[in-house]
Amino acid sequence: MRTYLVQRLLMMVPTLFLVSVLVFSIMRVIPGDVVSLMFEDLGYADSIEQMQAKLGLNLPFYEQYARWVGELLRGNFGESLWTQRTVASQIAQRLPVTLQLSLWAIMIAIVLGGVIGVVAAVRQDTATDMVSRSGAVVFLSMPTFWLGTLVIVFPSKYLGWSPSVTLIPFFEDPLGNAIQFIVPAAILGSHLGAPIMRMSRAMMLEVLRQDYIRTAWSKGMSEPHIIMRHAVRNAMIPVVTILGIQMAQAFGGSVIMETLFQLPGMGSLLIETVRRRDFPMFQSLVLVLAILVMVVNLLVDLTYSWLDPRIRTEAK
Amino acid sequence: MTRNALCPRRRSGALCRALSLPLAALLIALIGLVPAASAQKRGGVLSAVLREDPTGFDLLGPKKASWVTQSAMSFTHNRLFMYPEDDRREGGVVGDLVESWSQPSPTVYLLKLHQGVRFHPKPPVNGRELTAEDVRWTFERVMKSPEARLFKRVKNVVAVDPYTVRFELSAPFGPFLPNLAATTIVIYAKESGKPCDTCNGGRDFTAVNTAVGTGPFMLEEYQEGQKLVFKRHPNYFRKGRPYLDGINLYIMKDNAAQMAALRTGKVQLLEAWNRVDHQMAQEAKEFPRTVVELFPIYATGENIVGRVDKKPWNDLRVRRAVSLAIDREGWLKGLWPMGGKRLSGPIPNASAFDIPEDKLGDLAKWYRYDVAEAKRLLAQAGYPNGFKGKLITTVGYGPDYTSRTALIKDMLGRVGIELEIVAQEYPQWIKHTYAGNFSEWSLVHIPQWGLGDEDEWLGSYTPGDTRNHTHLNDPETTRLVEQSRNVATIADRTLAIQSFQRRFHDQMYRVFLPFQNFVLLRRDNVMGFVPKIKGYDFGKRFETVWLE
Repeated sequence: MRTYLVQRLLMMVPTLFLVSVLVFSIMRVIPGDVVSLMFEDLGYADSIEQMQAKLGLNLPFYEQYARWVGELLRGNFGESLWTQRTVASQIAQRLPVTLQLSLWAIMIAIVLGGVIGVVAAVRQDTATDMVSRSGAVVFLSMPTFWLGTLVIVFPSKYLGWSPSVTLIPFFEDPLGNAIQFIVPAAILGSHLGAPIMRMSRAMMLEVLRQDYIRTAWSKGMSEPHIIMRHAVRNAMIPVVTILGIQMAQAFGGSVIMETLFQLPGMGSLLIETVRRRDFPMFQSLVLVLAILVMVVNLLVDLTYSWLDPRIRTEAK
Repeated sequence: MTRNALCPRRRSGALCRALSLPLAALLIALIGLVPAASAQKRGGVLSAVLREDPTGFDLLGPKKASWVTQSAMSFTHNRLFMYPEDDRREGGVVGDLVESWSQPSPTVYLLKLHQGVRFHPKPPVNGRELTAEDVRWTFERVMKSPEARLFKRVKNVVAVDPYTVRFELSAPFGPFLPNLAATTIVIYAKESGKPCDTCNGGRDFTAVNTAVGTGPFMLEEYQEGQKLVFKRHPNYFRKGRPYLDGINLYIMKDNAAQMAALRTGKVQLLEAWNRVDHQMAQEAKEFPRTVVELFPIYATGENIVGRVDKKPWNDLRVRRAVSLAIDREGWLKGLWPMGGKRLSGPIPNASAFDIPEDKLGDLAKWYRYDVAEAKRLLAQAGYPNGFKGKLITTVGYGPDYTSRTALIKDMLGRVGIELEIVAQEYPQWIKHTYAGNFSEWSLVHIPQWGLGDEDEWLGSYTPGDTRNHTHLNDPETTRLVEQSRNVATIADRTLAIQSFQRRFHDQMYRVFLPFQNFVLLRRDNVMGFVPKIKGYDFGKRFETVWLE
């Protein structure tokens, strides 16, 4: 297991390098002269030369990159041009909100998608199966921003309810915090759970037709025992694969939910940063999000190896 | 027999009737002497919305202060002057920290400050009294900030005594007092800033705890992306004000979330700067206990420009033809169901100096919709079949803006002006087009401007000004702008600015488009909010607000 973990960690290095180069280059290739905009429209410096120097753009590209990476390795993410606060402090403030929302959403996705998928497979071609499959298509088709807007507009009109206008901190009011997160997480989770449901159902159907399951039935084992002990674990390997992708989508989807539900997370910060052309902030935020996705993928890979020990063996 | 309240039937008698009139008169007199119970109620916390976060709390830093920062600081700080509540009626400015002023000569102003003005009772200022030295120190910073552009003729600022400040100018300057009312020019206490060698004036006002002013509200808490919490300044120099105990400003970016919060009473006031549009206002009419109000805003509307030194904009007949091709009534009906103004420049409709369209006389004829006349003028100018060119716009102001560009293209197409829309990325737009770098046969769709004093709008028609997109260098227009600056009285300034406007409407350097009425949505228990905006003194307007 340790060898496998080391291998996976080493594989992250080139990915991280590519991501950092991409993130670093992106602001330098978008149309228009960002430096001019930052200077002329936003007034981030007294002169265009000072603006360039502030961003380190007066140096060759490779030197700019090397300096940036060097600072990152020392834990210095830079300073926001807009707020003049350190990027690290703003990330530290915003990241927990995004993590909380994403984790809630993915948990809902797993519970809804996984459980319903398994039940639908076990009850294949029954009304339960039909309803589950139709529900999955409905939630997959509905954009989260649209569903989120409906969830805000209709309860306010008919029930006199609207989401909290500020973040309720967990340590001050755990119940209030949970209620605040449950609605956006459910919207995001229902969208993320739909493909999980479809995949769980498909894989369960395949597994349920395997010889060893038939053998288990013939040995007179109980249905719950066969499903939970023998079928689900084997059916879950491909599901875990898409779980990694869904987690990345959860980070992306949190942008809209955070804006709609007044949650001060990384997503809303990223939007503001792009709008303000806050160059150092943007680079660091995207890099942190990329690292998060890589870590999630690492966890997914480790889960694979737990679910299917053959993967560890093959890796050796 | 007559009866009245003083002499009911069973007590009626000659004596009573004889006394009743004098008694009634006495009663009325007594009622007159007793001060009327104040209609304004004290107490309560109001919740409103701010669309974005402030960027620090310094309006005089190296960076241009954002409108949000100005709005936030208008709660906590005072200016020397402020805009009167009804600017169209009164014009000019009224004193805020200034109690009275005099002008011993055209270049010297003596400002007398209110006595007993106290800073917020917060460290390190601890509620000390504001003095002329605070004003002098603030102006030291003003003159080293981007706002120095407003005070180019200020030579010297002297604290004569604790309550008198003398401003010495190098030459008379009409917009001087109005510029002191700009929402960026608030008075700071030096000690409230953190010592900083590289900062303007040696003090850093970025942190939230440096926002210690003399304003009606104290900033108690700021959570980025969440809220600003203000509490009443207990020692505010205008006795009895503000009426509210506090204000919570929630930072909300999404319109649907804002509207849901208003509908359910979680916020009680939404206004135009939060991009409340006419569709939202229509929707809000159905909300319980919600009042929809419309008001003119202190801004000029979108407009069409070309370069006056290049074809085809160099020909006055083309400029007039473009104006005649705009169906302003249709524009208003189609885009803004809650109405607006047909004409939106060259200075704001809400300005006291503005000549309304119905007072323009013969010049108003260039703002009618007349396709035949437009075609005739184009033919006279040598374009009997119209001409082809580009219409430059930007995606940076959102899809509504570019859809209005398409409307311009459509309207000009009716008179034979065939334009290809070029939608630029915002950085490109700022770098090139907005800086006036566009070629001949190009027209540009320019956005609305919310500036400070009228002088800023007038300046955009003079050579060297960054907003002179048309490359105008007309000696007569420049003379009129200078004339408006060199006067010392408001009456003279009014005459000068109105002369400039007549010149503008005759020469049509920009073709102004209609402008929508701006919307204020409030719960019906929010009283006393003056729905008018000049600059970004959002907080100042809450000084007189109370909750029923």
